[in-house]
Amino acid sequence: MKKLIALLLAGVMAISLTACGGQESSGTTAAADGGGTTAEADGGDDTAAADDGGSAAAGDAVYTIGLAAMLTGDNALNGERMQKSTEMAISQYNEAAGYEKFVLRVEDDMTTTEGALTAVQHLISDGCLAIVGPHRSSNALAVSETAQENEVSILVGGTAVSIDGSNPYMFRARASDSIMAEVAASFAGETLGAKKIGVMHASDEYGQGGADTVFAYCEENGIEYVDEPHNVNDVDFTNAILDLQTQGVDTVVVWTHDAELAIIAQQLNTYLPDVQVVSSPGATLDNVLNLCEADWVDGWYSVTDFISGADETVVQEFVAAYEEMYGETPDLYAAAYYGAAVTILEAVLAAEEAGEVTSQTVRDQIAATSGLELPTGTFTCDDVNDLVHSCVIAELDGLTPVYYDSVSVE
Amino acid sequence: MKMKNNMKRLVISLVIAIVVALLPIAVNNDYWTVVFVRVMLNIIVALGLNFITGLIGQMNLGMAGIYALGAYSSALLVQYTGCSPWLGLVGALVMGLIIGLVLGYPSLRLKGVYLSLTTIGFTQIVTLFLNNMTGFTGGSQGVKEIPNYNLFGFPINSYLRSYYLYAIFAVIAFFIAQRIIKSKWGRLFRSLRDNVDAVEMTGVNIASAKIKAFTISAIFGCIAGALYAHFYGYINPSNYTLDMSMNYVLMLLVGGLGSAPGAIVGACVVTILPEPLRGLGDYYLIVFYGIIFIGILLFPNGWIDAFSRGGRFLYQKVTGKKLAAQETADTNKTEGGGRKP
Repeated sequence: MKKLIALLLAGVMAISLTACGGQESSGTTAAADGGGTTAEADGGDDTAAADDGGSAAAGDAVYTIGLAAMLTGDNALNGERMQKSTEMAISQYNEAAGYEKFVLRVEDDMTTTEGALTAVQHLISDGCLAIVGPHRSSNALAVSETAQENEVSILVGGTAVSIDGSNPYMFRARASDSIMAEVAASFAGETLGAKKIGVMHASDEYGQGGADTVFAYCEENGIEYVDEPHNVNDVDFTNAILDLQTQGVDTVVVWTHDAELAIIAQQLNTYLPDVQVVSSPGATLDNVLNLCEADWVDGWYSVTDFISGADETVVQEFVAAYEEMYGETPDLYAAAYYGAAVTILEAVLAAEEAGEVTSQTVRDQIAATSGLELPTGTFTCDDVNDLVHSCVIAELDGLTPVYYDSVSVE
Repeated sequence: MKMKNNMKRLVISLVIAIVVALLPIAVNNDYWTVVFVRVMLNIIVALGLNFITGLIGQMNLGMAGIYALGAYSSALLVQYTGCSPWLGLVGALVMGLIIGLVLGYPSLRLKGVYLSLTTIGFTQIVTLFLNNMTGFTGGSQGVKEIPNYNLFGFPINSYLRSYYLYAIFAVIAFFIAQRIIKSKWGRLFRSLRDNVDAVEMTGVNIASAKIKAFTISAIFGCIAGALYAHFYGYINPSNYTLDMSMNYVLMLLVGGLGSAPGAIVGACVVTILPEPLRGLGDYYLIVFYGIIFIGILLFPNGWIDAFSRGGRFLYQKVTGKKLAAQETADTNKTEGGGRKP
């Protein structure tokens, strides 16, 4: 028996090692000699994400697009939605083309910077013309140099201010933190009429960046504010909340990560139930709302990228298609990366129409994106490679985010 | 006999050197070259951890914190002073000395799960510090644009060049580790694992020995951290988690506790094996950990033990002779020596 297991193990090892050799794609030029990726004239042996539209005939162009998603690690659920929506976009474009024009290669970035770099490097080696992801700002920054060296565009979901457009091959497919926090602050001040704002925020770059924007708004508009920072992964916020109670704040802006958001919701409901709350996008996500009771978050407002209940046609069409394909309602991860994928696919088609499809021409077409209507807003590439310049304000009706307003920031 | 053994070692070393030198050229793929660079970095960390966990038998789950401090001390030193990355490496080495002392002292009073929790706490403190000292460390967005090494005017600015430089570091780390393991210190470390009371009875300074082991381990970890920072050019605190520390312990378990070649085998297996399995999609990590689990069950002394058994078997099949070490073991068995039931 032992021998049998050992043989089996050896077999698996041998197969795994054999697989090493077969992963180099023919569609990539060497990075050392200037980089860049050209399209294949015919279907390769890449993994097809969608089987719509039949197979490619000889001479039909086939383009490989990459996805670096957080399929394992502490954000795997969100990574799964990234993958689903990107696959849906590929499938729709393949259907429109009538054959498998686009092939999606998916790599797990393990939600780590090391994993992200390995994933992106793998996708570039596989001849991807452009890459959707990685999601986190830190992971996007980690792969930035690699993307630039290989002249392959990446459309990232990181919202940190430090993604500043200095890399011509890195584009941001979501509204930046500065836009979101500015909208949250002005909504609290102007729409909710806040006189004294308590700002509960994570003490890392994300939370502090958002808080600084709110402070700047308050100082500019003569609104008092109370700063209540906390560490990432903190679980007890009662001291901060009791301090806010003592100081008599009427509105709280919560700018933190998903896990902390759910705990803050519970503790605010216990100690400061009548206060108005405006939060970071996490409050509209299922992975936060599933941890909350309805009365903890009822009446909260959240500034976010996407609300499935918005009445715009583009949103409703996207939601209907996603529900039909996967039997679930899309969230902001699905919507944001659907937008990123469509932007790349449109860029490839535009490059094809212009006569040459290389990673460089695709990059140029992404940079030329203008007025592309997508579920998370109208995509227009600006001079710092930001594609989205608007966000949505949602009101929570129990555990259901309801569309309240859309705000554009130029 | 000694001459013959030396010749055999020389041949094995030459074969390994040729394989290491030709590997990235044969593969000729940036992705795999990056994976091999990671292997080299992990080898250095695993060799360091081997002193505490493998030889002394103390479970150190704080290697991620040590690695992070090594990376940050070098990166920040270079960023703030504009000095050469090689000086940053010296900074990381000094940081290793300091960490060794800081972590070594608790190990005098704590052992088992209590020491493990302390080392986990150490990593937590480090990541919180790195996250919250935004003005100094760059906070959660980390440190960007960390320069590459430069060797006498020759820039180490490609994956291939980095691979060869880091392979040299890994080889040096291996020889140092091997020398220490076979020295008086190595024997002392092993004896602390096997029977600490007996060692104490002989009048040996246990405190000093434990701190030495922690310090050597921290130096290895910090140097690997610094090399990592200057290879990737970007670091941030989110990577240095308990998972990372567990991964290093896993490398030792897989390779074989207490053995320097075992640490190398473990680092290779744990770093390389998931990559070809990526083709399995959602199931690749399940299959990977399945293989690791079965491997640990079948080879409790590590894969290095399985490899040496396989090597002996092949040698016997090819030459029809038994190795000297095996003959001695067989003789001991027939004479009633060897391990008692």
